[in-house]
Amino acid sequence: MSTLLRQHAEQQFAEELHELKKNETHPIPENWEMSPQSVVTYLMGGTLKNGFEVSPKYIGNRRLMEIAVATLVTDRALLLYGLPGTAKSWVSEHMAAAISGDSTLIVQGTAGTGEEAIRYGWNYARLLAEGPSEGALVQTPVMKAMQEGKIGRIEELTRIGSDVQDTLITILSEKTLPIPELNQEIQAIRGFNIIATANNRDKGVNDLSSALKRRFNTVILPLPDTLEEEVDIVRRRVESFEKVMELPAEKPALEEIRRVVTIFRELRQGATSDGKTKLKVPSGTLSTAEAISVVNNGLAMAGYFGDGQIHAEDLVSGILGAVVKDPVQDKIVWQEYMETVVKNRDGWKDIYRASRDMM
Amino acid sequence: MAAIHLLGIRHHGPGSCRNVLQTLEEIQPDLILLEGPVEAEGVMHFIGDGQMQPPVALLGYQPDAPQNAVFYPFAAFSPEWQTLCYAQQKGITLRFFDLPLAHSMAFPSLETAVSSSGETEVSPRDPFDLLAEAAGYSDGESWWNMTIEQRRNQSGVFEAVKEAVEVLRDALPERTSQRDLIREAWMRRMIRTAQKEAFERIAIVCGAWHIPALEHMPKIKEDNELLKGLAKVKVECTWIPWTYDRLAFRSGYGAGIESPGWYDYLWKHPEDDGTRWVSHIAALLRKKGMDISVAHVIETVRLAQTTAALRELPSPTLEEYNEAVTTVMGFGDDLLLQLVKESLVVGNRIGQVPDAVPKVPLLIDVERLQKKLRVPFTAEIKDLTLDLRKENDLERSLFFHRLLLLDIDWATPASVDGKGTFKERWSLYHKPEQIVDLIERAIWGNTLEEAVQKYLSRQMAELQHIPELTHLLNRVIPAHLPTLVDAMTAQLDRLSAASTDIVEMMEAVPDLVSIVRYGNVRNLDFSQVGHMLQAMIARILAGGLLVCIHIDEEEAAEVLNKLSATDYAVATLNDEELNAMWYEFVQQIRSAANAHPLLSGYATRLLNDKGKITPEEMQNTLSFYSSVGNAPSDMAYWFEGFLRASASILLLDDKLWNLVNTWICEQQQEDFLELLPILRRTFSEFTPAERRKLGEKAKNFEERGSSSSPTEDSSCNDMDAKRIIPLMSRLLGIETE
Repeated sequence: MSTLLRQHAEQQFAEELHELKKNETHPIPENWEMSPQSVVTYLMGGTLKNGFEVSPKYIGNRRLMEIAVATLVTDRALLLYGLPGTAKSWVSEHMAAAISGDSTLIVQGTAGTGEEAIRYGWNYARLLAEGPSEGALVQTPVMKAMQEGKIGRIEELTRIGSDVQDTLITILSEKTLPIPELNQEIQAIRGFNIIATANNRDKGVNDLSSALKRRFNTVILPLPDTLEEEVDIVRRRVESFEKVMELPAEKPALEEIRRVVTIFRELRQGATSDGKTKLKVPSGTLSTAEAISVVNNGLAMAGYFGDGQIHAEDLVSGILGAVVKDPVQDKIVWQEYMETVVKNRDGWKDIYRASRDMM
Repeated sequence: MAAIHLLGIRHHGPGSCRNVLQTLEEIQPDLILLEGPVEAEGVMHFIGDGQMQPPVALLGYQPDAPQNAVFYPFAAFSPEWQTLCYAQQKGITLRFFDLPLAHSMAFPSLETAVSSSGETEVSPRDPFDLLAEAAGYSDGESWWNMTIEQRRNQSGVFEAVKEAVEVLRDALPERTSQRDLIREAWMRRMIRTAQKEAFERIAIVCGAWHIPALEHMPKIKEDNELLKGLAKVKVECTWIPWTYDRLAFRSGYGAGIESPGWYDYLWKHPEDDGTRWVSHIAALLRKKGMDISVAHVIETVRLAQTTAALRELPSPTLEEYNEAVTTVMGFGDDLLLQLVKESLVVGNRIGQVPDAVPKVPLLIDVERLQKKLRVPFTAEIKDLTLDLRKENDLERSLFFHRLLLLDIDWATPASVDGKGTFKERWSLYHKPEQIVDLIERAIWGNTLEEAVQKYLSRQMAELQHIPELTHLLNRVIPAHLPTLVDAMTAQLDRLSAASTDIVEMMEAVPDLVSIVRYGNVRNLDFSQVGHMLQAMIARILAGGLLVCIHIDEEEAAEVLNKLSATDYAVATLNDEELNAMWYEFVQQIRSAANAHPLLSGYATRLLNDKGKITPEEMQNTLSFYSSVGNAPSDMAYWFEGFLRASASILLLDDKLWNLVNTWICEQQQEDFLELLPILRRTFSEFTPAERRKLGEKAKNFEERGSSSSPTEDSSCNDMDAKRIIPLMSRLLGIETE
């Protein structure tokens, strides 16, 4: 087990899930692993009656998670919407793990996702040999979720072509999946539902048809409200990354994380945190997820190529990569930011110098 | 001794309200003591009147100083209102037992009472916030909502509230002001009086904050000590219509609530499961052009209920509904909700009071006119476009203008799109305070017309400057008050005869011109004003030159502004006689040797624009001012005046361009350096597009050589131009052979 690169949520947090089930006090919907209240506790963290600490998975507004879980209780499908890197897939994975104990029934939406990836496909060798039969049918994650009463996940729903998206309508409204070739249908059993994610920054996506839109309740996951909240998110994720990757570097000081997050927030908002200086906004999204990977990257650099301690140089290369997506425009933005803000900020000289060396 | 039941309430809340009614029904009191001033008892009989529709407010004011006023607003879901109705229906004796307004309004430190109902919650922080925090709510309002207002089972609530307040008052003694102590002493005195009479069951309905003070009665002597020597004033009470908008907390009303519309719903439909509320939202959204289906409503209600269950609430609150609407209908975005929030959460209800309610004559006259012209007070902001050619609209316009002159800001003029002076747009926004303003203005007269005339006569007499007077006159004219206009013209005549301030007179001209034009459009006779205008311009002609000579740059700039406004006004009127007089004056400025160069530059420009000087004269003036004999700064000022705010003349007139160009090119280096800032200032007034074109022109000129002039080598083909003429003639209605 320990050789796996990344564990599923239900594997990594098996103990928490187990404790939550043990301490259950509220009624459990049919085919759910735990009550909606416990799902929210699993997502937001908290202390159970027996003193067990559940770690927070989502750091942010509790009410949003409550609305999201309540949506799944009403058997409406849930659409998590937001900028890239606002923990949509993360929330979707953990929700599926808590509700069904299984976060693996996933369809990755791409421009090439066809109907057979959502409804069902055929094993052509057997189709030719036996003709249409149940044995020749290839089940999809959605189909499995319907049969087992679990949560199916669709990532990047808006990347899927509109015609393919609309195959979900019958599944979501009538909870059945007809298989005309076999003159059969799959009827979903209780507990089945879909969590889809979509981001609202990409261009060239396929907007949902209004018929499909109506079958989803939408929750928008916002960027973190405050610097502290964002620092907290980055810190937790970096710590868990460290554990998994067994990096030789020392844990990064909170101060370093704060600096990375400050840079990201300032550039994202187009103004310094004291609101005194206006800044140009780069073309990248500069999400929290990117901040996490910048710090992770810095850790790895420090561990393998440095002295094990994270320095400005280790971080700046990562930050540059996240900020400068457009080699001309964004470079100007970054240089301006360096000269007007970073250069004069107390204790930030090292970042300024590292950036000068690198540009 | 009579049994006393204390019912502590919050001023507006459907839960408290139901609770009070239920308790009253249980105890069957034969006397109800209600928090409110005793003076109000005189107008209480109106409550049973069918015409009376809450929200209304009890207005107490001093007849000799009406601006000193107190409101007690009531909505249908105010416990006080329901108590009043209950007492009325059952024929139970009801007394107001709060400190009489006669005393409380005389109390000098009571100025906070205006626009609040005299409740102690007028404070930066609600004391109930403390309880809310302890219970894990975000603020006092949501805690109170959850624990009191939306509670289904109400038994024992009054006891609980009493205990809670007792603790709060002990913990926060500073929250009870001296004024509260006096009020409570009075309340206790009233309770004692009632106890001495033959009542058996007394119910006391008042703000929860006072309950502990009424339960523990101190010695009579202590109370008498507090109540000794209270000052007294004369007070009158009446009912006025109120609005939900003004009931909302954000309007600055101390005991206000966040969401009157939501409370209204809770009061009217206590058993509803949310379907009505969400359907109401859907209906409002559809009105805004959003596609909201019945399925949306169903899903929203279900989600709100499920979320409430998940949060372990007995029923969904406003927040759950808002979140559900956002999630189901709004595609996750609360933009949709913002669209209807105002009409939904605040609600645009306006109350109504019976006609028989005592009112000051002026208010009666205004209401009569409102009825006649069909422009009632409404809760929402309303836009009205008037066509002054229609009789009814014209009368409305007069009515609005007159109210505006009384400084009542109900109808305010809005800018009209489209042309024509017969159109007026008004924006109507009613605030209950306007009624108080009307009562205050009532001393000026019994009808609107009379009040305006007297109100303005007083104002007018104090004005000593011509522009102020003409400005006021300009406002008075559309209100059609001929006697007032006559009086003002006479006053204006006196002032202008005595005045030697030419600048002031110039300032007055634009107003006078607009009055004369107004008269022309509406066929009113303003010949007097016309004469005044002529006299005014004659006076400017006689003495105006004096203000243009021997002045410094700043003064010159001021005069320049006046000149340009006056010129615009004279040009719009386009009266031959006036034009002649005016341009004579302008000509004087141009030729006066010691006039400030800024002004002579501007005068030259004016005359050039109007074709009053020949091209030769123009050339001469230009070379005169650009000749080396002038100080460079004088030249620059002259150009600044000449090119004021318009680059087009430079762009189009090549002769002028040539002159300026040559002049600049011939400057010595040190002179040029001195000139540069002033030139730069002149050019900086041009728009960026104009500056760019000027730059391009300068560049092209250079390339073509300054000798050639673009108008001469025009690329326009003569033959082509001739072919257009017949069509143009037909379009213009001139037949050519």
